[in-house]
Amino acid sequence: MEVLKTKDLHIGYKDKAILPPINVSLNEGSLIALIGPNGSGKSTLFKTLTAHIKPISGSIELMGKELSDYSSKEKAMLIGLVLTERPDDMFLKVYDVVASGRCPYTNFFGKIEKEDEKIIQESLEIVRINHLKDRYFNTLSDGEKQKVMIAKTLAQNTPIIFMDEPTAFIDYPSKIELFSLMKMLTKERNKTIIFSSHDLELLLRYTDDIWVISKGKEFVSAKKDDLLGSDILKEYFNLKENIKI
Amino acid sequence: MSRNKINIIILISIIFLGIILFILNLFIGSVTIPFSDLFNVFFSEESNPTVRTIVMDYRLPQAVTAMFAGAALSISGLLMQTLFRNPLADPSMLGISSGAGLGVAITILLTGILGGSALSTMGIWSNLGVSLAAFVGATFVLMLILGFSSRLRNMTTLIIIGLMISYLAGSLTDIMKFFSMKEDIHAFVIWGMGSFSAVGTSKLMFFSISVIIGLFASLFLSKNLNVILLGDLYAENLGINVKRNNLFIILISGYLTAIVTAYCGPIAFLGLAIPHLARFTFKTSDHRILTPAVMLIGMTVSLLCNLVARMPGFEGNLPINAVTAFIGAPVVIWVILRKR
Amino acid sequence: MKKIILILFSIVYMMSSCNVASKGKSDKHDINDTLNLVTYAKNFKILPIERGYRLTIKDGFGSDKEYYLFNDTVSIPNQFTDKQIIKTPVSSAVAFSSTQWSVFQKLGEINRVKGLLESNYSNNEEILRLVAEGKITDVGMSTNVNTEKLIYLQPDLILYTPYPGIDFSHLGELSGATMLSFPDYLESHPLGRAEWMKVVGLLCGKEDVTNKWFNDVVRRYETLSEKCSSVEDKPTIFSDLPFENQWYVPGGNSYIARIFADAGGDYIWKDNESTGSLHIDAESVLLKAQQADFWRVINSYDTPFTYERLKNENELYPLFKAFEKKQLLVCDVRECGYFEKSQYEPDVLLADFIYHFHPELLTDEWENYTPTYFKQLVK
Repeated sequence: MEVLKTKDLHIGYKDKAILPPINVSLNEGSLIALIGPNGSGKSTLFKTLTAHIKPISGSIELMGKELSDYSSKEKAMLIGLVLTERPDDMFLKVYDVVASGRCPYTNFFGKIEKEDEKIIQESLEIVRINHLKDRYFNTLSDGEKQKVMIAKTLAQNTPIIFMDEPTAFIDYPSKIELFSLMKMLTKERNKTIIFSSHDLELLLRYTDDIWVISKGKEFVSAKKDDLLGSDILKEYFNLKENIKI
Repeated sequence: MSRNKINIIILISIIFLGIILFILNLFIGSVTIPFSDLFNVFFSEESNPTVRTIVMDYRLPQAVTAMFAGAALSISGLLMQTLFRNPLADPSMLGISSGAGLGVAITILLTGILGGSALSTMGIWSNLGVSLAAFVGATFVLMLILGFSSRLRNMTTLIIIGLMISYLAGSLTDIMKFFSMKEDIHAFVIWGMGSFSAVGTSKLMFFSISVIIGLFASLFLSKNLNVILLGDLYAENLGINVKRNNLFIILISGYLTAIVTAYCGPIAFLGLAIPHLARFTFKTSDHRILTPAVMLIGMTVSLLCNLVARMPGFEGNLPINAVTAFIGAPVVIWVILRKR
Repeated sequence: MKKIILILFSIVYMMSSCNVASKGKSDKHDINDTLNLVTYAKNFKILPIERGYRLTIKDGFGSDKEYYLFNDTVSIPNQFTDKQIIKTPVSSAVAFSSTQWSVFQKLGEINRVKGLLESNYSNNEEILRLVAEGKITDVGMSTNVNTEKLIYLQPDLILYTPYPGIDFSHLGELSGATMLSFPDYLESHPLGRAEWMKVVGLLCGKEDVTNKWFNDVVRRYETLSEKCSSVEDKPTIFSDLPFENQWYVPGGNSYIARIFADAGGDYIWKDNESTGSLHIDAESVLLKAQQADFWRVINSYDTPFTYERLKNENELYPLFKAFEKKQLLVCDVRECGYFEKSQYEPDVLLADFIYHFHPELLTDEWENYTPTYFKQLVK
């Protein structure tokens, strides 16, 4: 099933497009890595696709419906988000962070019902942080914090998840763990995950579908093998030679 | 014991303490009244009318004012701290108290500077006039801040603008004081010291209802406050209209500050300290617990401060602002150190 | 801290003593055109009515206030029963200002005063003793009245000093007392201020005494000022020390400026129109006052001034001619009761300055007079 589709999408700030038009479509269960040099517009693209900023022109369709036609609550049920920024509050508990993922579903006062409780529990278990749930978020390691934010997004129960630089700031074993987690979520839970990353070698090992962007250059959506067989990476990243895996 | 049970026990203890302090507020003051006389006020038909006036018409409205003012400022502080994700935020941060001060300065002082006592002879600059002026000043700054906040996404910028407005209002006040005659400054000095006794029986109902409306509204913010703790982008992703939400938070916080400052003068410290006290006592950031906790602790501490300010030794001359920080600051330090 | 408060208080007081008044109104005699009961004061009026008096007070805050005073022994005529009534002599009064209780004291009626403010700023032995004995209750400060104690006293009458923006009416409501506005500080004529003693006299049922006192004061004051009116050589004078580097000086139409003029002096800011206090920068003060002959100073400290001490306090002081020639006229307020008493002795204040300006003019009953309040600082 097609979950995301863009048509002649121009992204940028204040009427100034930073990339040629983007035409891309995504099926359920895809795991997409978005790569590109610094300043190429990765976060602008993310913000546009998650409806934080408006596209300059063109359309974004989510589950067959124009993104701007969704209410903010509906969008919250469709798109999950994991960012590099972390909440910083002394008494914020892991459980509370994950529970906030239920925000679009709970009533006016944010009351956690039985059903919500079940989903929160499940989310904690999927990322294997059940033992952390009574800890204060601030006391966790970066890798653990990352997992909590993913659990929050799982509790949000959205078909599409965007992760901004999820591999940054975490150690190597955590990175490996993260990739297998993402892979599992797309394969077993049918989530569609789009993440940006600078860990080229690692992501080329774990992901098949890759989007490449670079300033002024055509948007590229390709399979890993096709990419490795071409000069695109060399050209887009201004490298001296091609990457070999 | 589970955290929930502990919290419930703490909550009940605070309510109990609050009730005791409320009663002590009625019983203790600069005039020492024998217990039997006090007893008669509440339980007998024949009570000493003087004692009755002191207890029912002076101490009671003062205790109620202290209670609501304490709750209002503390909630206002909590909202500011959560909104700006800054532990040093307090109700005065956006310049609302300074705006109130400017309002008072304009009405009291400017009327003296321009055209002599022309305006003051109109007889409207009674206590109500001062409250009204403070409220208008505070609301004016609040509107200004709301205007800015609807244009700005970055709350740090708003803090800076708030501080600047605060300085601006403060300096305008100083300039007016500079050109004023000493007699005219008198009322301003009194207002600036802060007091819970200015409300009085006649305005108590209006004051209490105004505060209750604001407190009640703050209860409805709990869910969104919890979410914005994660950060604006996360909040927006979770379906919160961040701009509108910020506007509501500023509106309610500013409204509560404006009401209290108008009637009681600029009361310092409670708004900053009570939210921390509540967080450390209940060890949570969950506003569904924090909001009522902050209200209750705010009421209780405020009653304690009012009691101390009127202790026989101080002859009722201790300004409430001197007490709030004197009592509050060590308590906050103690609580923070103990929990570390 | 106490010292700072004291200084602050005395400065506020000082300013108020050179003040304000119903701005822009014509000169004396404007309020009373009925019986010649009030002559110099502009802000109160006493009118004899059936069996008593009507006292009208104009304090500039709200409409004029009317009080009906009846002797305790007479029955109050029906048409007045719904008015603000004060029964005289009052048996228990609270006086917010020392200018109020000092008249009670002078009349020997201090026992009618049950409460006052800021007794700790006074050096008046009798008052301090009565407060210590508990016969008079100190009910706090003018900025922070202890309402509870006031209610507990249950006074019949509260004499208060009205200030813009401050509403005392709740004190009357709570204590059941009649609130009597006493804006004596609004008078800009020295005799107008002194005349307020008549209000207290009326409250004590001793209006004859205060009337006589006042008439004596007027006679003495006018005789003295008459003598000075023709002097050619007028020594120049300026007034006050800066507070926290801010110079506030009395306006040219203020109470004290009038006394300087009537004593045959030349106040350097006499051309100024203000009845209140002027805020003047240090440079202008230096420019204008440096060559002045005399310098009037009020000392609120517990300890007396010396030139040495003043010099250490501010290095600008020695630049003034009056300082160099040791012509500082200093009043130690704690010692002489300046704030409570001098207002009712403008003739004495006047004589003080004549003593320094034109000693040869102090003749007849003023023969051998030595200053009461303002003495030349010699060391």
